[in-house]
Amino acid sequence: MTTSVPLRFEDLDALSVDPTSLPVIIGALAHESWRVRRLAADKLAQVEATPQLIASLIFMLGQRGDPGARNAAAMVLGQLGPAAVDPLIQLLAHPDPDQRKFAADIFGQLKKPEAVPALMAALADVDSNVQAAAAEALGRTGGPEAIRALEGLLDSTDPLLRVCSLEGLTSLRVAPPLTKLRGLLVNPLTRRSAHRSLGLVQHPTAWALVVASLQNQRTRDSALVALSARTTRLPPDLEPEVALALRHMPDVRDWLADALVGDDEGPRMGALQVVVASGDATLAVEVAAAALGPQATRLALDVLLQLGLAGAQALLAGSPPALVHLHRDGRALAGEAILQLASPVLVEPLVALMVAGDDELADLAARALGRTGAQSAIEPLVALFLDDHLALHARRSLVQLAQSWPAEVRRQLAPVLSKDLKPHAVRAWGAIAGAQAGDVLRRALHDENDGVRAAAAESVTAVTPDALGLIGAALVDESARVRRAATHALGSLGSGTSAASMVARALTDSDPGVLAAACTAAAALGARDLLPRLNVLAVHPNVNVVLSALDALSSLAALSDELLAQAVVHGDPEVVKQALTLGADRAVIITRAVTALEHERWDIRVAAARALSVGGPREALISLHQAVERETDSLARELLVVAAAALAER
Amino acid sequence: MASWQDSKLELSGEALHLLRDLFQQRSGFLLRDDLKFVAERRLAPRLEMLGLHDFSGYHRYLRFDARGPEELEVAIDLLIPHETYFFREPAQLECFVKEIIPSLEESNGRSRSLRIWSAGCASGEEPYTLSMLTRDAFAGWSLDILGTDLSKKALAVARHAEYGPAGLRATTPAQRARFFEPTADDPVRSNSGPAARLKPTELGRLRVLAEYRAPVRFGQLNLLDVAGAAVLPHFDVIFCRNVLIYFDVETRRRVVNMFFDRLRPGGLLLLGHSENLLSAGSPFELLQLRGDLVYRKPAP
Repeated sequence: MTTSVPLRFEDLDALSVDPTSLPVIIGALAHESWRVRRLAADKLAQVEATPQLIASLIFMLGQRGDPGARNAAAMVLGQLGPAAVDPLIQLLAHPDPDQRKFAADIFGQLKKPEAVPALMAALADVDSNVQAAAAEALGRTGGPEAIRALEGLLDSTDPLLRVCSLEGLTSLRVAPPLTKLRGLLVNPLTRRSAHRSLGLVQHPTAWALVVASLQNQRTRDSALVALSARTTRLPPDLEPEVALALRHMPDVRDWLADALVGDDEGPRMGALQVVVASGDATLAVEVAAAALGPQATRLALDVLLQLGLAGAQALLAGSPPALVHLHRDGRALAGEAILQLASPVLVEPLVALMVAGDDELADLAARALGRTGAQSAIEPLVALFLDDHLALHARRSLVQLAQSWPAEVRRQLAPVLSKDLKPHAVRAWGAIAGAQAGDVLRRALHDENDGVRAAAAESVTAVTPDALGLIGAALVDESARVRRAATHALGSLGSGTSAASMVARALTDSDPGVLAAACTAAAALGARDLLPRLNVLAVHPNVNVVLSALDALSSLAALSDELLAQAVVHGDPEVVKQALTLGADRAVIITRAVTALEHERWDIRVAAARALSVGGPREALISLHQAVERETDSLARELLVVAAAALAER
Repeated sequence: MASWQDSKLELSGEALHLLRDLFQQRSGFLLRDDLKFVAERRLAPRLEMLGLHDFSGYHRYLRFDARGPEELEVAIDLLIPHETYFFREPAQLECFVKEIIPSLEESNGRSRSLRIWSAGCASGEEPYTLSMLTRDAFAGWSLDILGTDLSKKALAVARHAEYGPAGLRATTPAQRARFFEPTADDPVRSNSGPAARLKPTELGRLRVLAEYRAPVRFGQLNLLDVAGAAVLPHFDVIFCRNVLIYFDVETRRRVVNMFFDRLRPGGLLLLGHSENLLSAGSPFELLQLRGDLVYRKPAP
């Protein structure tokens, strides 16, 4: 064995950040281990950007003999914010071109508009690397001045600057003039970047240029990059032209397959769009493999659906089936496509998938079999009731198949119910056999397994005229699971029945789950005579009961200000959110909502903002804007902005 | 219920955030943004089974229902992939065979005992692979390979030791002939002789041979359960591949410290190729082998 690398990572990790430890942390930026350097950079990025700290970091940028330390210092400066801008503008005038380049690179990370004039001046630097770094930084920063400067560089004699200009404009989603792009498309040095820009041009001429590039062996990869500017499928009028361009390409399948599974995102997104035009469904596996990131996943799913049944067959082909080899997201995507494309011809490969020895794929197969609509899918599905895990999917699938083959499903399911009953088989029978299910459900209500009894209690309302009597028995079952199921079922019986009296019984149950279900059932039945009990349960020690009672009272238009005032200061955040949501039109809540904008939990801050957006006065906008400014959670910030906009529009 | 369609259930950014907070708080599992697509599809059937109409309702169920803690385990079980197969990550296994095994033969020569832990072993392919790689090299030694996982279902498969084409996909015909036998419920293949007679393209159901099952035992263990792990012996090698990526930094730190405690001085921790202990404040020392980077508990 070789020797080990000595570590100081844990020492640094344990060090708290304060003025006394700063010199040590700054010194660690020059440590021989990149792990230590990175940790030091992460710690420094969180401290106040004092002039001394910035000066130390800029000094470190000048340590020519230690590239690790220089890069680490640059990393920190790129995260320090406005305080670093002026010192870095001064650094852009440093005699050392390396230092000037560092300054430009760091501005690319900071993205500060106030640096744009200095960066524009740096475009005329005597050192081409500084010029390129300044152009890149302008591309990251954006703004009208930066865009004008980048467009000016399209005419530069230096191809590196032209590339930087194209890449910068593309990252800002700015399409350069087509007249300037034409020449850049054919130059091998600028070809790829120019095609990336070309994808942004929404004009028939631009599409014609992309198609022309597709036909050329040297430019076809760049054409894929051009197409990558789009995140949806090709427009219908372009698809035939692309198909024509591909027709005479001998190796189109291999080329597209390589692009789809390659590391480069540009060609991958472009290839996803071209696959449908190629009409080659055998590429389905590679399409699923290209599902990396949300945009590619959405596009890949669309493409798989376009490839249709042949694509689904390609995913299921082989032993083990091809989709076994896909990465996590690719598998989920392939599964989604198979579910949507399921048809009778897939029954055989889906049954094979079920026994491939992979649980996730067995789940998929069981779900997809129900969507095939095939009679031949019934038998393998019925067999799944022996597997507790797959039985859920078997039930759903058989209910689906019973819409086409009711008699056949009943015939094959009946023997399962003559033996030991299984919960999902009972549910399936309740859903499929209708009034004929009564005998089995009565038997199931007396089963020794409480899961079976609960399944019967859930199902019994829909099928038997004496449902209420059977539920009554279930409501006094010794198992809370059965009582909960029976209480849920009561809610579906509708008002006008004597169900409400049974709900009243359930509202005094000892199990919080039953109480919560009873609140919901009371609301569903419109049982206003149960309001007194619901009011009591709205201050129950169990939070789930409180939430359900508040919901029910609100649904019955009987939620008092007094209860809302208690709920909005409840110890559990879910109750507070519930109060903010249900009482958004009440003064008692709006008053609290303003203070709740400063709550320690992001979800309560958002709920408060939403309450204000619905029922708050216009003056609350100031508080909302302040909340947006304070917000550190990115999602919460987005939601607060939406709420503020809603209030502003109201 | 009939109108319910799992593919239409959307996990909003807000619901994802709420679930992430809950999972982290209760289990350390990190529901990353990039798991959204998978989470939507794997959890949707659970919502249907529980009669819930959206993921906010699921969050509420997990928090407040009496069966919430049990459901949380189910949810995490669904979200952490158990997808694995025999002889996975061959480069690392080759390094194990060529560099680590010889070193263990030398270091443990006097005690003639070897303990390996496959932490997060899913359905058992990894511990059995380790058995196949070590049994012959350590013939006559006391060889103990422990596979642990949180999922009872996965452990049931592991104990059964029967695998289909998915688990066997990276095996060669020679490996299948040497380490497996046809399953008893496959009469055609059972009657036609040993697994060696299968065509290389045929990947039916096969069972790990008894001699390679013998050194392997299994147990249910939550890696966050430090007290539970404390009853385990000290190991020479711990494999924990593609598990830590699903934990947040703090949880990772706890798990890594637990591994540290469960290794003998000089013992090795092998992670998946995409994992490292960079942000875990690791007490391990990094060991650069020719074929892999591994973590070693410093010897005194």
